[in-house]
Amino acid sequence: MKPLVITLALAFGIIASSCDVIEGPYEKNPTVPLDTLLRDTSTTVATTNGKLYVLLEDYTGHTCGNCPEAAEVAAKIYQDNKGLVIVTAIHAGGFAALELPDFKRDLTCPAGVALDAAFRVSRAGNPNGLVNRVTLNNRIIQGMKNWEPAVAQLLPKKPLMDLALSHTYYPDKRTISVTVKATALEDIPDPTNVSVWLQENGIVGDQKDYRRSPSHIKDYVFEHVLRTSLNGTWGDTLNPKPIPKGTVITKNIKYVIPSVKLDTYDTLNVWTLKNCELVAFAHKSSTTREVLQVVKQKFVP
Amino acid sequence: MMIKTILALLLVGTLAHAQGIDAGENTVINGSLQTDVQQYGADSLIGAPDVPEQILSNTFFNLTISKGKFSAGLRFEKYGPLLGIDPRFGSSGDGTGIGLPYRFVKYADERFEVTAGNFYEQFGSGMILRTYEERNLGFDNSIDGVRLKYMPTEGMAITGLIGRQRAFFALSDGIMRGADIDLDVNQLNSDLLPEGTRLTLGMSGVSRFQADDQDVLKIPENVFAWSTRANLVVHDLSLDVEYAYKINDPSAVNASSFNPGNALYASIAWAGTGLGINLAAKRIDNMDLRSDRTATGFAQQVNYLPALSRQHTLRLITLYPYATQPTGEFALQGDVAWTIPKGGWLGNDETMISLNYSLIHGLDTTRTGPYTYDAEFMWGDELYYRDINIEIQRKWGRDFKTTLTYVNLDYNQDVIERRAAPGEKVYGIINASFVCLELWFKTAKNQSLRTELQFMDVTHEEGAKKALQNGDWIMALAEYTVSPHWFFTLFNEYNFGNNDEALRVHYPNASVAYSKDALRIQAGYGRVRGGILCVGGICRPVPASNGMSMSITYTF
Repeated sequence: MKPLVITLALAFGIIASSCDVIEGPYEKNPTVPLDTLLRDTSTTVATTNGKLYVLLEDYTGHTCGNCPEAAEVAAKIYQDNKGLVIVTAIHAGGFAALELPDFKRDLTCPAGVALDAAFRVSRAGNPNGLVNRVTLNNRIIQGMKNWEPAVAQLLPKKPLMDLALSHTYYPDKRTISVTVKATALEDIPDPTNVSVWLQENGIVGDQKDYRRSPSHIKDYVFEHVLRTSLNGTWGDTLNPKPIPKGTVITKNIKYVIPSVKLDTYDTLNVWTLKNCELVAFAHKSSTTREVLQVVKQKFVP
Repeated sequence: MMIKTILALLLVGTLAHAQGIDAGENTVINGSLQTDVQQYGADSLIGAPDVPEQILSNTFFNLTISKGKFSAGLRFEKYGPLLGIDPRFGSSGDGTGIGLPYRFVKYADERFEVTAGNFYEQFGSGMILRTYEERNLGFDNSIDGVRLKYMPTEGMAITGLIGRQRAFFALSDGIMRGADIDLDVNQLNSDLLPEGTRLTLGMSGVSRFQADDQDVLKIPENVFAWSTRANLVVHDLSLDVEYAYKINDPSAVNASSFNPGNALYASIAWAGTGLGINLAAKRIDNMDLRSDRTATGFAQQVNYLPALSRQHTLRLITLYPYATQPTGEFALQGDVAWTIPKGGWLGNDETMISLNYSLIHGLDTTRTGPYTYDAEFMWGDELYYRDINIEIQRKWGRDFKTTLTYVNLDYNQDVIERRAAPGEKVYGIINASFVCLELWFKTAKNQSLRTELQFMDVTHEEGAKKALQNGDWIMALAEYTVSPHWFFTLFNEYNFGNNDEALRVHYPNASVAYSKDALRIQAGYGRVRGGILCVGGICRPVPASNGMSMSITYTF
């Protein structure tokens, strides 16, 4: 019996010793207060100028063989509407998972995964999208065939607010300093948040496309890929309570790019800043997260 | 080739007549086939999507060969996959949805057992490890590796295992290691306990290794969980206690929380003549454990936390099933089963009454940092689920039987179906009152008719959003059996109280099944509402569908 007890104690000991209890702080590089001097000093401002812009979130994935068609639909809507529709490709869900050795480029990001989970898009299947996150025909998730009609229905509407976006990049501190200025054009009854996203164009990688044979495209070009949100999944509060027409609110958002994302040796995961753009949008803080206005600016590294 | 093999084996099985084929020299071959085919027609009214393939099917074929102390087996799987089954079954691995994801060889004698390949294992009630297959939900978390079992003496069993979990048609990122000891005190020393007392004890440990691949957080690469359990029976009274603990395991499911996890389960049961009472309580805090910290949904679950509520099977009320919330919940359940014997004040036939109550709340938590929180031991204010139900079964002679069921439940759709952010109210709490009268008649020798009449009254919170299939329902079912071969079923569900008049639609279903020996073929047509499909407290959303279906099962 004794050797048995010893063997047993050893077996449990071995498993129990493989145990990494982490004490705080839990972040690898705890965020230090950013140098207050890292201000946005840019004078180049993108504005909505009294027009309603529409955000089209295209939820996609590299092993989704029907998704390239949806990306083309989105691109056409962008062209047809002279840039009034801002497209973001959110890679999330089963189709966005890595499948080695071919589908090796990870185009997902935590904010995209969280949004996909919250809106349950990939659970409904890909490709699918959200158009300003509004509910049309009883559903928030819209198939690609519904994007054009949804956009056509939204664009003639008057915006509730104007947005102005500018930014300055400090390469030595890897810090993007963003200013978003919101001007209420009408009374805004709902509390509102503002999110700022960084997205990248022209990423070349593997993609399935069922319209082709063979369906595996090795040099597919991914556009508008959401790389990160600068201020979390749901952004920062813009106005916590209703605001009257004419109110102006300015937000400054700073974001430090993780060093690994700029590591050019990691060719699969590096961000190419010169191909990036910033998207800022205001959306309802609660319930539907409906988008009220959106603005885009080319990123200047 | 594979199809030919299957057909050949089917033929051999039919000729063999008995379960298992005797292949000579003590060699026995067993197998089973299941194939489910569904045709999909788009039905935009009920939310049934347009399926380009129009027909999807899942097929499973199991084969086991045993000779003496050795056995070996495999399972062929082919996925469409049917809607509602994780699409990664069709896209992972080589992307064909076809493969042999399960195969093993095993040696077992009286004291020792070794399995190499895929295996299913459960430590205790499964709070830290349970691998199993539930193909109707598209769930299979078998471990591919090595397992040893050693029974040094009567009443003691030791299990050790190492391997990687199945992830659809690939393997999970993390490596799982585990050990368990199970002791039956009565068998170890029959004099130790007083007569009429039985005691079993157990202890397990599970550890996962997954490399740290993140930039921001200090990820624990080795996550350890342990559990301990006891079952004591004293005459008619039985007591079950199990406690599990997990060290910090920031994951996609717990939103990168560094809190340790724990779960406590206790139940007490008493069974006398004609009366059984069971009371149980369960508290879970951050106990989701997976072999891959980035997995969500159904993928790569390692542990099993069953729901502490009755799993209803009557069709309308299955619209609102409870699924355990592994990130945190406090559940209580009481069960009373009473058989009133025949010959008493209720006449010459037996009456069975079963009463059940369950109450499940969220925990009361306070955030203490971006990655930590405090949780009170007792439950918080937020209701997740409440259910009170009664079932009365009564025989009236030999040819007639009735069952009356009443259910009243509160269902927090935002939490259970993850339709809203934590603390947010979108769909709110749904109250459903449900009644079903089931009648069973013997119509002739070897023939019977069973009918169900169901009614469900549903109310939604003021101002809450309503899911597609909301409001009041009614259903009628008739099932005619000609034993032992034929089964005919007709039923219709009608969502007459839907908030949207256009959605007050009928969901008719008809099917016929033929069964002979080990073969069963079922074919039918149905307009099926979307909803949550649950097996054993594990639930998956299944989209609506409209079309023909067929299923074949065969065992040999």
